[in-house]
Amino acid sequence: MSFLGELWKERSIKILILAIVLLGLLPLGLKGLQFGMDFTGGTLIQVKLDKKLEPLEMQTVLNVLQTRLNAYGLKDISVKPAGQEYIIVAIAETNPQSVNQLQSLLGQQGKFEALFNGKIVLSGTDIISVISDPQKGYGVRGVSGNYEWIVPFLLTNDAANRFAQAVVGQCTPLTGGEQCKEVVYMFIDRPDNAVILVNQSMYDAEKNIPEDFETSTSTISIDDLVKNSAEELVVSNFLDNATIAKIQNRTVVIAEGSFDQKALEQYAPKVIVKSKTAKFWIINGLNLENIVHLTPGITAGNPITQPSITGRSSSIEDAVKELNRVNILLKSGKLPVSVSIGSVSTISPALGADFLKYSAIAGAFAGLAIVMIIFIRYRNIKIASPIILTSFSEVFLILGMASIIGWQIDLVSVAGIVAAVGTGVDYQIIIIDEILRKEQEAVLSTAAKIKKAFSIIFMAAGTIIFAMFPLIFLGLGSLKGFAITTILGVLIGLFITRPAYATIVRKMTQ
Amino acid sequence: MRNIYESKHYKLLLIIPIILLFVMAYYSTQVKFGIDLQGGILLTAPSNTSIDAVQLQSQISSNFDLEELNVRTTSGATPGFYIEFIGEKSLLTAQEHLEAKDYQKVIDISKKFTGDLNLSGDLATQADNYFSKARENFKNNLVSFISQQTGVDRAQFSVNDTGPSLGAYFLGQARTAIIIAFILIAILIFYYFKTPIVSFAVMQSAAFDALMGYAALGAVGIPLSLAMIAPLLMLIGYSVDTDIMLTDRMLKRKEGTPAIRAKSAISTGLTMTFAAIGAMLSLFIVSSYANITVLSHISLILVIGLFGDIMATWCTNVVLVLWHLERKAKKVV
Repeated sequence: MSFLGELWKERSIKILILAIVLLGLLPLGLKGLQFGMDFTGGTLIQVKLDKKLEPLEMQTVLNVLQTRLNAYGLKDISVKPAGQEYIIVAIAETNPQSVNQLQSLLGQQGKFEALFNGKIVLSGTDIISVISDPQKGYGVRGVSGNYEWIVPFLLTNDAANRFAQAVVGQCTPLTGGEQCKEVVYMFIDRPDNAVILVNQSMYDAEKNIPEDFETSTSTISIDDLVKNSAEELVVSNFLDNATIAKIQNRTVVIAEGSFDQKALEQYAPKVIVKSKTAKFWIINGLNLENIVHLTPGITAGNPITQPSITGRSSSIEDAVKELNRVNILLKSGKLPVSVSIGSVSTISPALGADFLKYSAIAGAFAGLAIVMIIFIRYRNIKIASPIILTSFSEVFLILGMASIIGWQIDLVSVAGIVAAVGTGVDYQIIIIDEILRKEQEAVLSTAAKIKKAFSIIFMAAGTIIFAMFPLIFLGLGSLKGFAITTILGVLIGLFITRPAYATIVRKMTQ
Repeated sequence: MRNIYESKHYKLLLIIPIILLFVMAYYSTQVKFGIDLQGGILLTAPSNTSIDAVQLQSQISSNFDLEELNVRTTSGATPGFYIEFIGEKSLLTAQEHLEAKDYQKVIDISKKFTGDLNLSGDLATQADNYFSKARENFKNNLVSFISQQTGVDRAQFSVNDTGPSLGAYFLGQARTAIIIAFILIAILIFYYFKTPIVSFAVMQSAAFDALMGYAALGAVGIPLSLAMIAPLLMLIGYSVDTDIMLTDRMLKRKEGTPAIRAKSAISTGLTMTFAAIGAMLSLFIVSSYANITVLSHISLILVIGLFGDIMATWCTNVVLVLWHLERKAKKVV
């Protein structure tokens, strides 16, 4: 007890215990560990851009891709840049068919469409550009307690004529007179002439859809919505003959978990399964992105090559969100660069779970091997046990730090952790041998010997950190995890666990 | 045990690493690039029934025209199979046409896989779309085929598909990483030891170990993939530990002769290296059993590289520093 009591007085021991609580227990307990795709399963797609992008352009591309993928109704998508030329898309999906569809979705240009009364009045190729210039009206401004957002864009002459003819005279002014009751529906990758097949309970639950798809009090019935999207709505609970007749040789869109895809595929050439990520499934089913009111000016009959889409929100945050959404929406047909798929890797979840189990076992065996070698060399439990203790706290602290910075543990990180602990043990061996050296015993105190050992250790740690350094900044994907875990491990070893270890050994040998 | 460093002929120790250097040089030429560095497709799937790799390989090659097809089966905790190849031959040709901007040819070849897609837009975009669709269809057909032959459900397949341009990009980045790491460490070591010959003695060990790891890739037949850059860099950083410890003791201590000090450092150094080898060897054994390829490859390369470190440190490094101290002593006299 007195030994432990004396240890507790030491600063380095206090730091270690504090670190274990703050950097280890707390984050691991509260936030837990995040595992990478190696362990959870999923698909990683590397997208190559055909030129290097500036950060601002890159952000646009990321937003556009994210919007398109969201429109597709996929869950858990992350879209991240890797260097200036690559984008990495990670999704939890592993079904090969969905992955293939997703790949083509990423590789091709998005199909933007605006429909009025069930007819296409604008499509992506009509839009020359979005004018994101505040001088020309782009932006958000406060109007009598509300916030108005405006996105002007440039149309081809042809499209401007077509649009003017389609909407001429179609305006029933709403109160205030600035907007019409009539609306235009906007889509990205709208299913082509499809049957939307829903069961009765879904139909009842989504009978009336708010205009903003969330909480708005002005609503549109699901029947009108589907009709205005130029699709057909079929409500049925079973695949009876009447239903089969309606879907025969058509593209069918169903909600995830509602109908049997395989059964439908016997009658319909193409069955699209959509999961529900919006508040109302029908929004996902139709790939509907926005509903916009016409304005009296635009329905006057004159072709306008520079129209704008406007709307109002009650808070500035909502207005800015809408502004960005419409901006991205209009650009979705046109990415500023052309993209190609660089690499696709899918890991099945079952394999990932196995990997995690065996990685943990492998780590444990590696630890055991180190302990055995230390014991064989020194034949002294007093020397071996603090090494085990410090190595353990090191692993714990690395995992805690990974949790804090939100780093996902993958296979390469596991190798990094083992490597970091391995170097940690090296330094402890240097300390031990320095203390045990007979030649110096008379000349130097234990404290002085430890100080000598530390000059070697600092140098050696420096080389490992330098070796790993380039990996953090180069676009080498998974190797970043290896570098981060190794560097974290070495730093933790250098400043937290090693001083504590030295203290314990010093106290023991006194 | 006699102290070999006290022998007059201590320089003869250099023979061992020099012979090794020739062996390593040979195996370095045998290293193959993995699919993530040169482009290619890797299919993996678990399978509970045993699969005849030779038979599967011949079934695949009689139905598909694949470049460098390689089928392997694995047993142990997660039995299954690996199918690796650089690409479908006509699609590889299409890829070359695409890079040469010969779009019509790309479309012609791709149509064999896709049929007529009635695409609009300019020729370049069409070629792009045709090509990616063709790759996709080809992959689908292949996976369906293998799924039929093996009875493994499609959803069980893990697919890793890397285009050649991405591979080239990664390879470039990996080279840069190794070169920068080397320069940074060289600066640090020179700053610490000040003398060029001593710094060289330490740095050669880093280079020797990394080369040992690289040659091991060729000798064992592990393809150089992105993940293998990790153990190579690790060897550069890791191996220097023992060299710094050794050189520090030889130069900065006063007791005994340098040869005695070198010998006394051996036990510390070997314990360090064997602790690391022990850890990596157990990682290797467990991960090989569980077929976690990435981990088993990384750990194997580290084990072999660390054995190389024993040579680089206790033969080359010691000899170079002893030699340096001898010459310095003569000058003083």
